[in-house]
Amino acid sequence: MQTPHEPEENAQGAPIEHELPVEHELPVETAEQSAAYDSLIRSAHQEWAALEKSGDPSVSVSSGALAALKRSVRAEVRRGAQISVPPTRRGPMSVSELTLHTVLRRAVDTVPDARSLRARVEYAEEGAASHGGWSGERGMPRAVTLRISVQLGSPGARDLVRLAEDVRGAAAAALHRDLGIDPDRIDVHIEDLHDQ
Amino acid sequence: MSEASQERRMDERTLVLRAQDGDVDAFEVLIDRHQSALLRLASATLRNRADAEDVVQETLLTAWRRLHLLQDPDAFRSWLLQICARRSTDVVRRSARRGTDPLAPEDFPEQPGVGGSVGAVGSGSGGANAGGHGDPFDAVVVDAQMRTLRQLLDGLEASQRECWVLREIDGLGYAEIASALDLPESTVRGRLARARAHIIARMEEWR
Repeated sequence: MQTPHEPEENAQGAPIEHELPVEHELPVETAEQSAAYDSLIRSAHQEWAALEKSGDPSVSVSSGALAALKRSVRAEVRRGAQISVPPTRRGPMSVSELTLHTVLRRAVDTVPDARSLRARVEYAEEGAASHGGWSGERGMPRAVTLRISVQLGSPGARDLVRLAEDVRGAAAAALHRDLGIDPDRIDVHIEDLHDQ
Repeated sequence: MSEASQERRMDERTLVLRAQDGDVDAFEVLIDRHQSALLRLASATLRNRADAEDVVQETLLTAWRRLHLLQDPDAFRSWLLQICARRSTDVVRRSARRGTDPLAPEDFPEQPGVGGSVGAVGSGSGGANAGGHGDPFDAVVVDAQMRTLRQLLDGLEASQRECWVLREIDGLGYAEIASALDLPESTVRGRLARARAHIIARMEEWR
């Protein structure tokens, strides 16, 4: 039988890491030691934060690596499915989901005191075959839900009903103007209040 | 004010939701906000600054690719740390499989702009850490006047340092660390208890 003092091994002969230290393994910590330890952690936090704030290169990924990463991120944007929109006079047209969401986000952001968070779009089941012969992967946008944040203490925050109407109007106008889309419904959900 | 500069002032939840909506500018702000903490964590496990920077880049690119799968935007930070911890562990395991020692200092050329700092630690640590040369955790903390802390961490295994950084520096809970490292929570508690005892013992020695 194995005692807690003997090193245990697994089937491969490797030592097993005790999940929790056995009671006598670790010394009892004094209040003074605990305070010194806590102070050390606090100072580490403060110093790291100060270095980060000052842009010290020792606590940052190199600028070249960060630039390369950002290029990769932009190269890997998820454009999503192609969406059917009404044909133009000169032919059929489709846009990516990313384009649709960008139009919506920018429209919401133009409304004073409102900030776009995320949009959800529901599509008609049929593809664009019925819209000028273009076969998009998704049908026409049918309903839009806009999740937004409102600036705390702003005029918009004092009249949320009006603000929601302004947001709805801005989104509807942008969709009509930029993409020729007129969804049946645009819901606005005020989800957060932000400081500035 | 441009869209990008407005986003610099947004809170984390807003940035995550906007990035999930396809806003690349929002994700770039998130990159800038989190890269330092990720570097700190990767550096606690790996002893090569270039490897640690690679892990940070892979972590953030993976996060961008999978961002639409993140259900709770408030969990973004711990989700990133989890990805980073797993990537770091993978690098160590891959090195072990290749038969190379990821901790061998001679494998690590000095990095431009970092080498001087690393050298300074190597010569300035008084030999407290024989493997200190090339250790990015040293490189990361060398200018931080946190040499005391670095020396206190000497002797801790990489797995203990990783747990310790996640808990004491990044403030993750036991369950989050256990999930990040694929360990039972009791193992995490054990490693943290040993790390804490080790650091306190070193502090006592120096009094």
